[in-house]
Amino acid sequence: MTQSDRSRLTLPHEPFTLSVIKGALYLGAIACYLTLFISPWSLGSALSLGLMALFSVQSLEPKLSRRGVLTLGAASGLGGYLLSVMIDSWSGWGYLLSAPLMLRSSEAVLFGFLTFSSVFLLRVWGRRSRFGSAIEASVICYAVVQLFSTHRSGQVHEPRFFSDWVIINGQHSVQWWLTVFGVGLVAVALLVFSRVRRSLHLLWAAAIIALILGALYGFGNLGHKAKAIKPLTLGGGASKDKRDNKGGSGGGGDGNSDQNSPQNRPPTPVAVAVFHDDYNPEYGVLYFRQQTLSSFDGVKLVANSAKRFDQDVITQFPSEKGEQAALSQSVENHLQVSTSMYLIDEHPTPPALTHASVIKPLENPAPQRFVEAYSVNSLVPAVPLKRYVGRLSIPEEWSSEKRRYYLDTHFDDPRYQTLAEEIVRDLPSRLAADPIQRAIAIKRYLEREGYYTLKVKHRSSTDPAASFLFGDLRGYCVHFAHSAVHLLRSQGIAARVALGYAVDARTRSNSSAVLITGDRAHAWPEIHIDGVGWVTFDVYPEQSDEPEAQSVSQSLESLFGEMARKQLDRGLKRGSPFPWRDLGFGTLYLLCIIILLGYVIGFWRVIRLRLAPLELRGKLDYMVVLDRLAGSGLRRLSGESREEYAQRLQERAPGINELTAAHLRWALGHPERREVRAQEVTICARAVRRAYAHQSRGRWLLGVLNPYAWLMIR
Amino acid sequence: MSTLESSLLESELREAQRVANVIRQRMAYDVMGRDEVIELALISLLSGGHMLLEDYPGSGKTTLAKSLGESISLSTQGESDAASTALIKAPFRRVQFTPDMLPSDITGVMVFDGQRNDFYFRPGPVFSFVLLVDEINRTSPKVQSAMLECMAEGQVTVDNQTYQLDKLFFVIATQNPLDSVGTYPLPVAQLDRFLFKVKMDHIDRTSELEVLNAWGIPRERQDLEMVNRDEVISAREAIRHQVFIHESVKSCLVDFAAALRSDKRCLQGVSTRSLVQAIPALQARALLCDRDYVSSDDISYLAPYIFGHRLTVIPGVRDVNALISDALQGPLEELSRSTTRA
Repeated sequence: MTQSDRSRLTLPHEPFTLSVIKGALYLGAIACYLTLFISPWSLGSALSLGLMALFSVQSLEPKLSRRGVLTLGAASGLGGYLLSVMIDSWSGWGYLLSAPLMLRSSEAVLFGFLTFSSVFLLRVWGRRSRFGSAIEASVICYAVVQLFSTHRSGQVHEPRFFSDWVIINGQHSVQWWLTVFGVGLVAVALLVFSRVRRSLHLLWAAAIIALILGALYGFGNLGHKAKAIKPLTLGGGASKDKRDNKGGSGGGGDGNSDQNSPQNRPPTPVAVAVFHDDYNPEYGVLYFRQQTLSSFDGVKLVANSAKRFDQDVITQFPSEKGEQAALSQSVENHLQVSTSMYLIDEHPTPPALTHASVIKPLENPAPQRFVEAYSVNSLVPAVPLKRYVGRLSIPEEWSSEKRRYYLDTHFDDPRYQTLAEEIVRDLPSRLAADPIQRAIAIKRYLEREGYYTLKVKHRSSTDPAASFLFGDLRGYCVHFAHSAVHLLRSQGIAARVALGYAVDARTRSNSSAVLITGDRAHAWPEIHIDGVGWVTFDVYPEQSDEPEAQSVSQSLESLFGEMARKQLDRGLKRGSPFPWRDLGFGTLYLLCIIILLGYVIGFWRVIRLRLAPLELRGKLDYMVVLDRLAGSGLRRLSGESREEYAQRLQERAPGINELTAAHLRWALGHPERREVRAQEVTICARAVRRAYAHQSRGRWLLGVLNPYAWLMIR
Repeated sequence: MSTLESSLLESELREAQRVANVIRQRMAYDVMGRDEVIELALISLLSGGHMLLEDYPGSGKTTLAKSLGESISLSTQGESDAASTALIKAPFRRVQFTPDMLPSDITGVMVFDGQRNDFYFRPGPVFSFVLLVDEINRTSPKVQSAMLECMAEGQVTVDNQTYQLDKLFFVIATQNPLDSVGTYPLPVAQLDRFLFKVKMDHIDRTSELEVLNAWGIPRERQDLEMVNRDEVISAREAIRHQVFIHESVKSCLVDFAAALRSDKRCLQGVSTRSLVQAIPALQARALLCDRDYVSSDDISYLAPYIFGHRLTVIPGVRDVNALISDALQGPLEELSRSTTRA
């Protein structure tokens, strides 16, 4: 490339107004992109450092060499990262600041400096090369796409117009649609921002952008594949594949490693339960059971395929008449609670509050939102577990087959038996005979010794329960539940694993609706007690590395609750046509704002005549006249000199020649005489304004009313 | 022209304007239908550049040059330049260049004075205010280069003795564009020393009729004013110092040169010297338009005359002016926009 070619490729200086617009877009994009992921602290830090980056680009960019830019950008990014790691790791901070403060400031430092570095580099790049300014535009677009695709996680309480439409019309890949929109946006942004003059360059840049967006889409899809809806569909015993499913649901198990900050991602709503009776569960946990695993196939527990047992569990959606469960619970120890369930996502079996006795179909109040609706009558325990001490586990009337079925366990593996014996041996002898006490001892053992973590999956072993129980005792709910059931069965206590959702009743808001989210999927043991029936017998490990569960957004919960109670018809019908009305109003609203903004700026240009220093009026007065003329269609052509323009308009706006001469004398003449010459401009400008208003009133009015006249002047 | 503008000019500039008007009036009286060439000659005179006329025989070149030379009187007021003016016998000289000329024919020669028994310097035609060089391409490169050296250096060296030419020394050279047999065309490096190259077309019908009517009738012009040499020199000074040339005008020139140099149709772009020469010319033109600042109008008006002959274009490109106006477009637009920026 020759020197001259090189010089032609350098971009013209970016006008200040464009810098300001781009800066505002940058801040908007930062807010758009980060607001979903990080705390307000970090967002504030990112925004302020982003603003700083914009300012420093404005002032430093012309002076810095390429190496200087790269050094500053890399140093700020790396420095921020190291500082954040230092705050995180050095224990001294922990004493100095409190722990949450430390975490927050570490995150704020990290995001602030990374934002500074990336904004700085991008901005400089954008100012210096065409390609860079195309990338700038695409980053901004991606941030917008990101913001609009929040529906991915089902956060319908933050409605996004376009995403709504896409989802209602049966498209679940909002990202794809947004990508299409994004490409269009980028093309427009390119036209506005890139200063690319040749169409070939434009095409080239557009192709690259399309490629980048395609890649982003692919990346986004990989990242968000971990859908949280069908946790238990394949639910066999403690099989490997079951664990995989579980992992996908259990608060993000598998998805964890692929995502940057899953803890900050809002959990996906899967169902809403509306309570018609007051009910406060014993441990503060509401159990919604979907199915049970009770059949031992020699290695693990699986669902009873023949349906000969577990007939008290309803595993299919109700037909017209409703489903009735075989009565297993004693009426005197239980209370009747009726609830209505509204499933937001598909489930293979109906989740219902334990222990559901009757499930009846309901009319779906919002078909576009809920896939299934049914009412449930449940028998919830009215008596604390301790009261059952002294009872047997298996009633007399059970057939020997049924006994065998519910007690079948690893009789070939003596370790279960031995461990169970060891645990029970510690009990005082008077209690050791009691099955309930033995069960509680086993539960206590697991709670004491077990360590709850989603990171250890015991995936490689054929019997994950054994791997967990006789290994390091690290695992999650599935491991705890299966181990407990095996230990209990080896002690002659009928037990099974229940699958479903466990919702902490304390985290919910006061409304009668409970929102069940995907991350609440759970597995827990149930034991059978003579004269009572099946009892939820969950293990609560004392040690855990899982963070405190996020509470469900109250507004989201109440919104779904209202939808379920049919109080809120959002006017969205299945397969509705494109929302023209909303689009129309939205556009109108936007248009009004844009017009208003134009008037404000135009008005400001008149007002500032009074505020500006006298010597600047040589320019400002002239520009106000140009605004009027350009607004009424008389704008200077490209390539036309100011004198030629004035000559052309002499008839329509008498005096414009003198005004132009005075302005040019002010602008190009000796700077020492500016003040005197500015006064001439003012006098001439006044004369022209009057003459123009007088001569062609209609045009003058048009110029006054045109909100964007100031954009048209050259 | 608006009275407002004129009243704002400094007194020195007004004086310079008067000088220009006197010369213009005299020339317009002698030469008919050549207002544009008169204007360019004036600009050239006031900015200290030289001028190359490309024209057909009998189109009034000599008349024009003579009229210009004769509107400057020999009398001086100051004593400062007495030494150089002493050698000048007439304000206007004309030399017809032929192939057998020698450099001494134009610079002057040492002649032996029998009475004093010594050599003395007899000044050549370059010792004048206005020199008309007819058919500059007919003479050998040796003479051409001697001539061009006079133009560039403003001095003559004969027998190791250097003689200063007058400050006002102003050359109007002509060449015939068609009759090129037996000529020595000027190379680009030498063309670069001329501020303007002006192509003259035939004058229009009315003017031609006027010329025919005026022919042979003795015309009185004693009543017309003349200017003297010092007045012209001080007009030059005033223009140079008091017509303001804004930074953005200069950057417009530089951008224009860069655009021209990178144009693929252009083998050789314009020189930096041409930009340096352009500045006083632009200032002079601004003054002739009653302005004390240079504007984009001056650039677009003068650019074809200043830069047209300095370009070497690829074969097949005929319209050099189109090339120049293409290159001017961007920088001029930028200049126009710059006035409303901070």
